[in-house]
Amino acid sequence: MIQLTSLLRMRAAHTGNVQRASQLRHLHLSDQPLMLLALKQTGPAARPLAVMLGTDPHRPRLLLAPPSGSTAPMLSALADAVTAYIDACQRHREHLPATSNKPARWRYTDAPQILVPNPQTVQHLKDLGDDLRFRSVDESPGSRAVQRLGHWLTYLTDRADLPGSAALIPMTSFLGMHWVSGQSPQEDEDLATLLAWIDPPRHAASGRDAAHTAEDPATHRPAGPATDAAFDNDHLAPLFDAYARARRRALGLEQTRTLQELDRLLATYLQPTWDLMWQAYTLLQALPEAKGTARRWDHERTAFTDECTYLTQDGRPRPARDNAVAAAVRLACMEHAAAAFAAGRTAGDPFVRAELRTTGKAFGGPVTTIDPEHTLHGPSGRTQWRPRLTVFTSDPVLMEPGQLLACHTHPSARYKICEVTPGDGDTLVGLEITAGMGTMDRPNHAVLPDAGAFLVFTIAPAPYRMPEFPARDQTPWTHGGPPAGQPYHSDEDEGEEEQ
Amino acid sequence: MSSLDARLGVLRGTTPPIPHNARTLAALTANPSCDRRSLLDAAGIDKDALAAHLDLPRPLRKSQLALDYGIAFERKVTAQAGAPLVPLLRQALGLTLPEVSYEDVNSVGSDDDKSSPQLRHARTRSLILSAAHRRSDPRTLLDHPVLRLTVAGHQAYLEPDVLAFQRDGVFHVVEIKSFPVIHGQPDPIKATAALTQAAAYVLALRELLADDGLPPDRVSDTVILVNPRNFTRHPTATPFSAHKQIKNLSRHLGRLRRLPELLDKLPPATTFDLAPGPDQKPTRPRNELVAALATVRPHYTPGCRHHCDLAFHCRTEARNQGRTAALGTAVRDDLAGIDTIATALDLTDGRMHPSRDKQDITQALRHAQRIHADLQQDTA
Ligand code: SF4
Repeated sequence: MIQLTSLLRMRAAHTGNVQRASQLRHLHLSDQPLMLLALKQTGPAARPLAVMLGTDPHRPRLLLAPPSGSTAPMLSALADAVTAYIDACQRHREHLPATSNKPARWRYTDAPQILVPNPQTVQHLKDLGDDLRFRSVDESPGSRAVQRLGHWLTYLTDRADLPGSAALIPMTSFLGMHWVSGQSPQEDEDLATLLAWIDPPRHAASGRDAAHTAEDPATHRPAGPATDAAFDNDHLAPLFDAYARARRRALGLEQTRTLQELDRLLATYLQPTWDLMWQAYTLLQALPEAKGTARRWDHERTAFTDECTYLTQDGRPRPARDNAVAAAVRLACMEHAAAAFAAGRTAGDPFVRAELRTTGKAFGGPVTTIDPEHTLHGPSGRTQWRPRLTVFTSDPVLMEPGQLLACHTHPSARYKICEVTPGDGDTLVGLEITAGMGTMDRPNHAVLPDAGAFLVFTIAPAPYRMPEFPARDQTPWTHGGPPAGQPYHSDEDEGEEEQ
Repeated sequence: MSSLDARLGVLRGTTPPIPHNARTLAALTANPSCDRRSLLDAAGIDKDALAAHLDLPRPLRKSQLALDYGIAFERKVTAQAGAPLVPLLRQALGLTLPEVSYEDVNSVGSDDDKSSPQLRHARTRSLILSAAHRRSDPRTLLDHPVLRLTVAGHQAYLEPDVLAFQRDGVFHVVEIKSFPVIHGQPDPIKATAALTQAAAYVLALRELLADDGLPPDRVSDTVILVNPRNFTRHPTATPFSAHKQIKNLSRHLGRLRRLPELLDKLPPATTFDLAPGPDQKPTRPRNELVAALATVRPHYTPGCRHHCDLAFHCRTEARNQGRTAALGTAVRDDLAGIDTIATALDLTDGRMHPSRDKQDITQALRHAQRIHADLQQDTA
């Protein structure tokens, strides 16, 4: 089979213009996202070089770490900026009345949303979080805030792993849900060229031309977190050397001057990406939201509220590596989130359904016959109402009789394949409704389609049951700090003398 | 000089061949289906110089900051006769204390920084063989030994960071790398690359021992990587199995022997000579060079930029020819058997009739197209 995106990629390459994918936004976009660009120093694992961040497109803030020596002041400023943003999300609460299975609760009306250029930046923030959340809290100003920043970065980057979460989103992946460019997915990870395809400047002849121009090494700036070799060698290395020399000779003035120069250099370096981020934000904001988007954001706010509660009540850092049970819980959560997000997108978005039809995970077509009265005799001898219908499809049907299906029109209904009759290029599929139609006494007629209606059926998600794990407040291992017997070292200061 | 060498020499022109090292050998396994690259590498052609002359971006340029950091880390690990390294290896390999002795092969026979590779190789060879035959106290750690590996009939000198020898008679390759191992886990891509380089050392060491009638299992498949631990600069040593990489690399080295076939396919008088002038600047007309490159079949993928200097040349070429491969491996694999976008779209839109073997794929293309058309109507 040929995936729809493969065909669209070829069309884009052929015409020189981007092709639309999903036209509905499945991730909530905040009115005030925190835009964040990060650069790391080449070499060390997670040593920051600079961060540009802010909620105002016209007033980015640049935080700079010196090339050598302590990064503590920079990290502490970063911690303050991020914490201030997160605190602002905790201003208002809403009350949630009790439901049949949950007591009355409250939650914050907002949650943080951080937008970063690419998945690599998410990974960098994850590493940084790993480093910072075990830093010891001492007398030095800001050390508690820095540890807390580590905690939040870990929370946010964990959320970023959950499909459907909108707490921390890499922009290139977000754009990729809605537009298909005529370059390879690897090249799509570059924000500048991807956006040139999607939203070329007015004077450009095509998206392809715009991307070509955007790639010009003379003006192209990678969006981080790694800086490229040319920039390292031509610009950073000389300044780093100058700084190290001044530091060795304790020339304070010279150090300050070099830092100012570095500040100017990196501000200019990051500015184009900063502007692209807001351009992308505007494009995405213009897309209408899909049906499940608001509900997913509700979950996001619940998760955020829970995390805030955890921090005030316990606050121990998450362990460096999950133990077996914690890892299993995490995996189960991720699988559940992925399935729920996939199901929600399928139900709400015709593009997603079309894509599934080209991969054999769905088929679609008009209803040809419907037998609304059909009944079965169950094992207990009771008569069960099992309406039947036949669907005529020109999609290849790779599924077998017995397969349970879902349909976008009634997400809670289930359909069982009874019969697959291949014809000349087309297929007749006989289906039986097995859930969602009510009972003989109390039927739900809405679920019965009209003959002629065009329906798309997808494989029904397996019923989800969270495996039995201890509750979170009884699980010291999810928040237990580093495993015992493995003292954790951070070399914020040691080793710096070598530079 | 063999006739093969003579023919490769013609391809290269007047400049001496670029010697292979573990990195270039590892790159051989990255895209083995590429004839263009196999030929250029076998002839020892400087691909970076080629790319520079063609005015291409140079994706493999090294960052000075990265190099400095790597050197500083290696110095730290091997300082004071390997003092920081010894306890790490003792733990990773289960060495016992009296076994550890240390020999730096960096400066043999002279006080200069480095002696010639031949000399250092000879010294390495005698140290290794005497250890292997227990003729002397085993030199348990050899710093910067020089090994030799036969690559396409030529001797390539390779320089592993450290070789460790155990009492039970087995050698281990130790590589010092400056990428971190965070909570016990290195970046998988970087680790694989490091293990592939280490595989070259394992093969070279086995070649040395085999010359002396010693079996290959005297060199372990297990390689020790020494990396910074977590976010510190403290080293940690982790054993990894390089079995897969060793098998892979030795298979690709074997394949280099199909060179004569590739050479036979070239038009006569093909050369990639940059024709350096008296000032060493290349004088070869660029269009001639591009034409010469076009005579050898590439196998472009967007991943080329991670291992080949010519990536941007081959990308432009693939794009100009409308190759499906330029759109990534997902599209290329989806369209297996159809090389160009134009053909795929002609089949999709019915401008072209599929041959018998293209019928299935054409049906799939038209199916995707139909679904897309439905979608446009719905949303219109
Ligand atoms: S860049 Fe070109 S020459 Fe290099 S491996 Fe790829 S296709 Fe082959």
